[in-house]
Amino acid sequence: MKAFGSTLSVALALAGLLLLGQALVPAKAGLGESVASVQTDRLSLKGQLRARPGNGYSVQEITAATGTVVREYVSPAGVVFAVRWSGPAMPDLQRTLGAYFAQYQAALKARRLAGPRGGHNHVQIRAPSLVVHAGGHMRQYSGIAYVPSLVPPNLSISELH
Amino acid sequence: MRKLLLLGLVQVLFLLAGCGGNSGGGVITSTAGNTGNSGGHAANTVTMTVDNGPNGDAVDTPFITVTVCAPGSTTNCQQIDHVEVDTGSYGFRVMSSVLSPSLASALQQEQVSTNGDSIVECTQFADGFSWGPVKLADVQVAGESASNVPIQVMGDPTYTASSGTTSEIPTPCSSTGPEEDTVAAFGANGIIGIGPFGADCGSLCGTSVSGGTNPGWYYGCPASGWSPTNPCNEIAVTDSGQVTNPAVFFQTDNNGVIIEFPSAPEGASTLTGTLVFGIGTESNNSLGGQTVLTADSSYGDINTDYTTVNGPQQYLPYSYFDTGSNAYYFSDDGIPSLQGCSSYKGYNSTTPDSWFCPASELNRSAANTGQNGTQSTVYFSIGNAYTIFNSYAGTVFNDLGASAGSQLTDCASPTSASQDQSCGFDFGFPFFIGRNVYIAFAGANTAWGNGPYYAY
Repeated sequence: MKAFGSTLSVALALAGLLLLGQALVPAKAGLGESVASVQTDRLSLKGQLRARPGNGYSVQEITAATGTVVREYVSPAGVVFAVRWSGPAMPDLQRTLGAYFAQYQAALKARRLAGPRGGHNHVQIRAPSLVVHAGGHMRQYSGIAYVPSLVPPNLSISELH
Repeated sequence: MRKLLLLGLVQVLFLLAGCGGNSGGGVITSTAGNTGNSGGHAANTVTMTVDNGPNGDAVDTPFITVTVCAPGSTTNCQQIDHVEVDTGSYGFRVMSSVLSPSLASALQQEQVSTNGDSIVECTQFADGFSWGPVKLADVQVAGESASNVPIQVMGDPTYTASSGTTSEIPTPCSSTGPEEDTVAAFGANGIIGIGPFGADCGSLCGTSVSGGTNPGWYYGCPASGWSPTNPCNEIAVTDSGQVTNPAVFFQTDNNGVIIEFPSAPEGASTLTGTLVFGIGTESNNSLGGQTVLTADSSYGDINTDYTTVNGPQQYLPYSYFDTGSNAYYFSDDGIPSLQGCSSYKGYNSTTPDSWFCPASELNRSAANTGQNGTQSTVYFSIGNAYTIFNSYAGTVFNDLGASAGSQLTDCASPTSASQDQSCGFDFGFPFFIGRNVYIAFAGANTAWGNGPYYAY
């Protein structure tokens, strides 16, 4: 288990690298990235952006024309520490999970080999630096993904509206 | 040819097992016009079997055999076994790798009328995507059949070309998760989605692509000569062209289904049940004493009020009944899961499951309400998944439950819950054991009201 400090510094380093990348090419946006990336998400999702304050965090809510809503939860440090989605279509998880998408893919594949299986309507991933719960059924998908080390102290994920 | 016979033999074995040894059936070859009297089964019923699946690792997952024929043919047919029965999706999908070449080549490719492109679908599941062309086939299940049904052929190599690092599978598709286009990745030879809707995507997929309202499930791909400069493009496909729940196309018995399973001993290696087509259309599919809970017409969901182990109430208006989930999936912080189960053998510390692992069996209840106001309480048990898996080598479990995440504040009041689609209780396969569960399709008429509804 990595120490909190080193995990955070890895995440920040990743975020820093991606910020640098943004200056040069259109960057992937989303989980673990800076708040400036949320505009990129809105444009790519052709959605309406609504920002609102939370309790020790802020929320950028993007409603795509399909009706799918993606909420990006931003820490006081300006980093997206959690994302939630719900609606008739899955979101672009590569953009929404940002740098964590590859880890998500790998974790899902590992889960497939790991044990009892059944159905395609649920995802429960708890990798050391990524938690994803997703589910629903056709025409109604919802999920949450967050990076435990990026969650502001004293904030419970269950509070995220 | 040998493969067909082998499947036919397997089919006979299933029939004999399901009918308690009635030997009225023979080997099934071509099933066109099969009235279903072989083996003593009514024409509108088919045996469902819960077993460990083609990869040997499935639990609480029901399968049937589906017959696929080239359109208009009674001889170019193949029986596909281990098709997963999924009330949480809509449409029939079969793995390209299990189709015989002669059948695969005879299925009719759906095309874009303006330019002849092939219609290819990116099917979105919660845990990944399946990519493959939409083809028309004649689909038969037991004695029910429908012609020219749009089905999906998953993983068809014709549409998975690549050039360097560029894949024919468009990035917006592969961005939804990992690909599930092999039997090993998917866990079954196919899947039949018989949930409460017909077309898999619905009206949104029929809207203009440029407007942003289209979720992008359907693409037009060059029939040949794909290249990065000649790619697949998102297209609008109306309901009639979408991959569709085949049952809605049956000539009769097309207004719903009944999932019937007897009780099962915990840890049984297999369980046999019956999938019945139609509600109130034959002598074997009327409602008995079941309670009808109407579902909302957009999502097919009902409302569940669930009192958690620690006391607080969860309001869950996006609840549903899903044979495609292998457990009860819900949130309850008072039941240990995830790292709370790390002391049990089988716990995977690298990628832990979210199975519940209470120290002893828990008896729970959930109060369900339909849109029609009708109420029905479900009593269920949650056991320790790890000790269960360590105790039994079988595949059928009555009390499997898994955490859907921590209890959300949104679900603590009805008003905020109605705005949050994560507020839902998934009654997975264990719910169906020992019950007859009726699912009426959206817009269909039954003697007990119009669908969508659930009755159990």
